[in-house]
Amino acid sequence: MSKKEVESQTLLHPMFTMVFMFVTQISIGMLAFQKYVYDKSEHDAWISVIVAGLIAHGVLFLILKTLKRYQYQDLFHIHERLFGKWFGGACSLILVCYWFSVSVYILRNYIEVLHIWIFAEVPTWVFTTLFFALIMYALSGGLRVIGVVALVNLLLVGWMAALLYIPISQAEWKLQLLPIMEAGLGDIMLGSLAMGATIGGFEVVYYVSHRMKQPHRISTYAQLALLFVNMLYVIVMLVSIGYYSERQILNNSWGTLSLFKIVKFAFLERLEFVLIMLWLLIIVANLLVNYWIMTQGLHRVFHVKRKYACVGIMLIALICNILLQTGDQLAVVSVFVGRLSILFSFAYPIVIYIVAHIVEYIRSRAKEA
Amino acid sequence: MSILNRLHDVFAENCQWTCRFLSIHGRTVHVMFLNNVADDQLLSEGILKPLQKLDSHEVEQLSPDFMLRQLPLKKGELSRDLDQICHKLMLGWSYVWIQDGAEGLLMYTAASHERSLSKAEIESDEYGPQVAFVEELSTNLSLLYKLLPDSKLCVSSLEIGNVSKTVVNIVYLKEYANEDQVALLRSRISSLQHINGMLDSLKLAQLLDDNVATLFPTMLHTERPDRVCQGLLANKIAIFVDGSPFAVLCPVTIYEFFHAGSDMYQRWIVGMLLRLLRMSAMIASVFVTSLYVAAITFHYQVIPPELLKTLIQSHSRVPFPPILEALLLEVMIELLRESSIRMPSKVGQTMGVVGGIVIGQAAVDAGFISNILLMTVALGTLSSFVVSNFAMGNSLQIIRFPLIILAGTWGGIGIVVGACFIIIHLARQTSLGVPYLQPMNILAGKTDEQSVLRMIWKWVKRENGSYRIRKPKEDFAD
Repeated sequence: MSKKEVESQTLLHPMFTMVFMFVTQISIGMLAFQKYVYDKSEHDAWISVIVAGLIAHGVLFLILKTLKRYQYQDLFHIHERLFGKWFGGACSLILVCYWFSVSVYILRNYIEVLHIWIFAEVPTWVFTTLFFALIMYALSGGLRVIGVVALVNLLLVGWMAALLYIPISQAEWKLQLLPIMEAGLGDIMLGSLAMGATIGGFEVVYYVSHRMKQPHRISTYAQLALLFVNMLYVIVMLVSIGYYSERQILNNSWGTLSLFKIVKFAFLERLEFVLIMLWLLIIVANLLVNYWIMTQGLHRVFHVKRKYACVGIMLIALICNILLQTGDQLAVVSVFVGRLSILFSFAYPIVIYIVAHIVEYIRSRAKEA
Repeated sequence: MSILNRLHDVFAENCQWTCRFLSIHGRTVHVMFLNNVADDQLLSEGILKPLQKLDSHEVEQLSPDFMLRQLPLKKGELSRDLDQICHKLMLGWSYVWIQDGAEGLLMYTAASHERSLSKAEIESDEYGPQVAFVEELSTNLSLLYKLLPDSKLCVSSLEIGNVSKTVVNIVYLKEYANEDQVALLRSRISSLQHINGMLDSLKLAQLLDDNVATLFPTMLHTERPDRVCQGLLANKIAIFVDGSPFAVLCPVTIYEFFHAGSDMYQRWIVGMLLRLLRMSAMIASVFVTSLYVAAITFHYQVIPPELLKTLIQSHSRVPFPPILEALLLEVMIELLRESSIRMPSKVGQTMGVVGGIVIGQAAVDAGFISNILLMTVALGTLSSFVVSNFAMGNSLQIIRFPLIILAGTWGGIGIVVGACFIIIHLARQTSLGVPYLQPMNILAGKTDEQSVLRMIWKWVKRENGSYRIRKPKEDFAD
């Protein structure tokens, strides 16, 4: 096969940026974010969601600006350009650790959902191994396979969003939503902070942009994807506020799942079970992207083979998953990862943007001199 | 040692070997051939009679070259190379050798054991051309030439197999097919040079696959010339193997296995809905039994009480766990399928149907299997027959077993894990470098092959040129 053709097949259509952003942003967070936001800004929680979304759009804009400056190379490359081999490598390693903690958090939380709702007795390591077998198989196919799998999985789960019309039809809008802006500005911002931990993940653009066919086209797709995800979160939040009472929403750890409890067909009811099972597809797609980024990072920093990197990460992740046993431990991890997520999704891109600006300015001055 | 003696040595253990010598006005001419492989009539009309009729004047200038000009046969060549002579003799040629000559003449006298053209049996269809390919390569090619009489049609020939020396033809339309893909295919076929025998195109197709271990067919086989032509027009490459009544089309995507030739000849809505039906049948055939097992074993919460009552009542008489029950029935169905394929056709059909009903009904009455499971499995099996490509149908049929076992162990989660595995597996496959799941246009692609559903011809871009040109409507009709 000619070289050109090989290239055109390993490069993806820029539309896949959307797919990668969907699966990293809508992972486990979508199942349970209402409680944490509502806790802060109460029935104005949806405004918090919108505010967090707008901030995310701003950060994404900076990310795309940075990428454009470096001809859409990935973040590991940018690190090297900015900080040199050693410090840049260290930064990349820290990011790999961040993605690792996110992946452990997501997988362990999903297994927790399985334990709570479906199989209480099946040990954690069994589910973890099942997941890792799938991930290993798909990872060996490269980013193209991951993209296609993520797309198909999204389509297979996406139709369930249409079922939201049943809780919507039973919601009490006037009672629950009004009056608007009862919570203070501070509460709204605190709510946005809680929300930020959920919608983090859009920085995946940093890592996949160099594998797109026409990288300059990804800006539109990325912003569109973010807009779509934000709208989805706002809708789910609105429905939850309208559908649940205040106490229900605060006592319910899995707000989105419970929305599907009343969906009923002639041959099927309790659709939340179906949602949980299908959600496995989203989790797999999400973990695929996570693991791909991690193996790429380790490959770039240590020049290890990707397959050894992948096996190594999986072994550590397996141990972490088994060690996290109780719900309390999980809650601690969730808070920790949430903070990391705000740090690395929102703060870090801004820092990188500013640093890049300064460094390039100094370099250009040095060149002139 | 003369050629004659050496040939005698080579064919010493072959009882078909015949060497006939004629004395014509004092000169001895040997005619060698393999009995039954060479055609009797061609031999006597084309070689023996003309040689005997030669007069003494002509005999004087008798030479292989002279005979080549005189003998009334289609093909002939001069040869002194023992290997070539042996090879040609095996193919039914005859060797004419004048005593003490340095070289002799090979004449084409092969007997053909061709069956006549018949209707397509594996891919029988209600509309469209009904003729099917036969085992003879030249006949198959002439069928193609008849449908696509254009000089763009390229046929390149390769020979593989140490013993079988099978002729393989790669057929494609110049400027349509991708040159790189043709080159790739040719190099892959040549690399199979040292295989011993190549008896059918389906075996060849498996050896040419990008991933030899894949669960699904990644090359499409067909016995219908019109299907091959549709493929060629849609930039595909066809492979013909001498002796095989199936042509192989590549590269293909998974959606094409759910197309049938007659979709094109039906009204668009019929064709579109039939394709939709086949796709949903695929999903049903793969998942329906495992869903039943998962629901009965683990997830009775998701079934509404009224339906659950029926399910449980029907299952309560059965002493086995659902997974065992389902596997039992599935294996029974597989047995029926397999036995009905190889049974003599006179017994086959009655046995298949009656056996199925009798075994099924009896098993239910005996309390071995629940009624609803029987229905479910029957639905799944029926669905796998709806899929228009048999190889694909068989693959789908096999996938059910691991899924049933997964459903019996981890319920719905097991099914989703299995489904995810299938998705990943499909996403990894390529056919001649083209991704197997390549996103195609759902509604209308450039050609019909590129669209998942059959659309109105006007919307299929490649066919637009052929579409009857009409003035665009400016307003409603009066």
